[in-house]
Amino acid sequence: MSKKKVATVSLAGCFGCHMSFLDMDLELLDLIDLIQFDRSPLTDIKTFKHRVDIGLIEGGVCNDHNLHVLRDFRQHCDVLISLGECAIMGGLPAMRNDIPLSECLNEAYLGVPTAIKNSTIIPHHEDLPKILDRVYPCHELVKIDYFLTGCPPSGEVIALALKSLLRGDLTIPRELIKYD
Amino acid sequence: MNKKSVSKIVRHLPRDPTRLLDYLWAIQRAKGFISPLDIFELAKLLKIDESRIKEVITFYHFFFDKPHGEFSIFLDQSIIAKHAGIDLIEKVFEEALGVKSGQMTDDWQFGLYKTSCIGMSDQAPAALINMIPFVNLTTDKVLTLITCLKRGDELLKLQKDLDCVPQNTVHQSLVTQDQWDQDITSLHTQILNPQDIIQEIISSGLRGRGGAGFPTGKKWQLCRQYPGPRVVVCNADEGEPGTFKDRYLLTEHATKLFYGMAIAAKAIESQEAYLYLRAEYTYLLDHLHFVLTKLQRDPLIRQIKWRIQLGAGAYVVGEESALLESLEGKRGEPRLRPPFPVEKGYLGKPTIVNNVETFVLVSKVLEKGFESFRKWGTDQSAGVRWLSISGDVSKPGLYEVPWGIRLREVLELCGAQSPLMIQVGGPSGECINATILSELERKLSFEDLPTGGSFMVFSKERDIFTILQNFMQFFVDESCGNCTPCRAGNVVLNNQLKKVVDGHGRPQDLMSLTQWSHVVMKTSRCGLGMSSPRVITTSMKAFPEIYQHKIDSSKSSLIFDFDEQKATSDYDKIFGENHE
Repeated sequence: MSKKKVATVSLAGCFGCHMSFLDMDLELLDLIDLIQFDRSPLTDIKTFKHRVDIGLIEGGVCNDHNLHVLRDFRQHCDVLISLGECAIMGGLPAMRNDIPLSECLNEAYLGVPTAIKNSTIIPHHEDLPKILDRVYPCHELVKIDYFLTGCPPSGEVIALALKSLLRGDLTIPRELIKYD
Repeated sequence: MNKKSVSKIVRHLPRDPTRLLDYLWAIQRAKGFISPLDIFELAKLLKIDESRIKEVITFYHFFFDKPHGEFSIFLDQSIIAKHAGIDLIEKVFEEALGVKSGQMTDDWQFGLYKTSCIGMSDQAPAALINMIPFVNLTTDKVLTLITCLKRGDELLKLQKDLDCVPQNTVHQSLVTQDQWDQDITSLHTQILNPQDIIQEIISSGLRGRGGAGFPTGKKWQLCRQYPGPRVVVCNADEGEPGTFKDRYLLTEHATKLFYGMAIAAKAIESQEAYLYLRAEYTYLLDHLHFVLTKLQRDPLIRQIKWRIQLGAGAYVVGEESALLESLEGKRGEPRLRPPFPVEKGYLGKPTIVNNVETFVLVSKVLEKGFESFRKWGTDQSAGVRWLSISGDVSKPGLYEVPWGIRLREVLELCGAQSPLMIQVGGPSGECINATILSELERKLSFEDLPTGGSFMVFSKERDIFTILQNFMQFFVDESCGNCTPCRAGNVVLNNQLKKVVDGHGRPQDLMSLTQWSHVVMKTSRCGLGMSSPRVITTSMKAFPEIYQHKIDSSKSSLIFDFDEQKATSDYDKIFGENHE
């Protein structure tokens, strides 16, 4: 059986879910017999060259670049998984959703103690992505097939999820994803 | 502004926190609104915490903790009122007063607000002004009204002069209407003992008229199993949009209602009876007190401790356990059940809660005997029931029909004009496609199509989605927020419905609507959330084609519509659109 291709990306996230991925430790060696990483920060491949079986999305969508990447993932992945709180609900970045964007940027760049009056600006350039009016969860923009809860989901859960998905359907024991 | 102290205003009320609603009404009537200082004084007076008062004030629509205008105008937002032109009336009010809806004029004289159905659907559009209903509003009437109010005319006089007094138009009546032909005392002597009464009610097959249809006799019998003191409560919190039959019964048949309650009290050996009247019917309060006082001559009535509790505007209080909470002077949030009210109800006492119509029928059954009641209706649904018919019909108003009547017959009775859709039992009831002939053969009954009395007819000119969205918005507004499936679920359903209506829906969105409906129905605490998704599920069944029509299956079902331009417009505004 040929190895399944897996792509991962971190959008408006903190890379915590990717760190969790690495936390699999020895499990990762088992997994590597079954899967092969395609586009991912782990491989540093930045574009899709061919179709991929599973896409893992960390983080919500906070700028237009995130949006285009997410759509690209949807177009190239057979199965798309929202990985962790930010991808599922926006997470911490979504705390700005009730604050107007201009107020938010002013506070972040101009209102901070390290800002130098009249010389600090809000960074903007044609090469920089445009910030969206609010942070969107992935499933509002594209169809998401599975949601892996947790902040971050543990390495064990990610490994189990991928393995069970390769066997047929994604199933995880309830104890592992029950957080309260 | 009235400077009277709180303790003076509420002098006539017993020092009892369960009467909190009465206290708040008294203060608000005297002062216009309930200020933080009033709350402080009242808390001291009743020896309860201030937060306990604040939570109650903020729960109900008609309690104000801020100035609300000398004349607070509440416009009925039910779909019937919308179709009758309440939006135009709102505009006229807005322009004449120079304020937007939700605001108060600068001189604090007028406040303009919106509210859910006020039980005047047969005379829409209607509004409540200082809790006095003004029906059949027109633009001319509104303009005259404002001029006269500014001049200082009396509200009640204006209501008469402008021909805005609510009327009860009865188009058909079968048993309730006919004369109270027996001497009241003879009815009294007929009542032998509690067991006989309950047996009579069980034999009559009477089922609750509030909507759920629980057998009345059985409820009373269950209540008797638990040790007293027991309590009788009448639910006159008629909040389902499109219903107004209780308004009529309270106006015309209050005597029968009080006798029904007294009979129930006798049957369960209770000495306490409460009538919970919805705030929208405040104008009936004096009338009810008058009728009750007149009946005091009769020992059957006299031996009971009566109280008429005025609500303060909350649809969810129509749910019996929420009603009991409200009656105890708390937020009207439904209780966890079991225990059911028959075991632990008002202040923990075994309680029966029945609808106005049920009690009226109880006295009718006792008067005429169960056989004469049984001759109407079907096997499972005995007797007659009142329908409140509104919408696109030539004769809106009240109809007493036998259970088992076919929809077709009802439509003929009320003179429906090219009907497209019928909403049976209000927004929480069932949506029927009136263009399918076999559907019109369905029978109003607990076996087939149960109803709490609301019957709204919509003609082919109406847009079904506008109606459905009005219903969903109603549930979003009226959810008490206690349980998450209802508080959040109705918002989700409303948003998803909007997505489909706006043309952004994909085939899986219809599936998602169904799944969410299921979740909200199965996991909500009370009847509100258990039935609100029926707006979606029953309309999907009745009009699948209008949903399908909104779905563009040519688009990818994996990437959803998203207005990127709109989402980045804030950013572009900050840095100028041409910075690229």
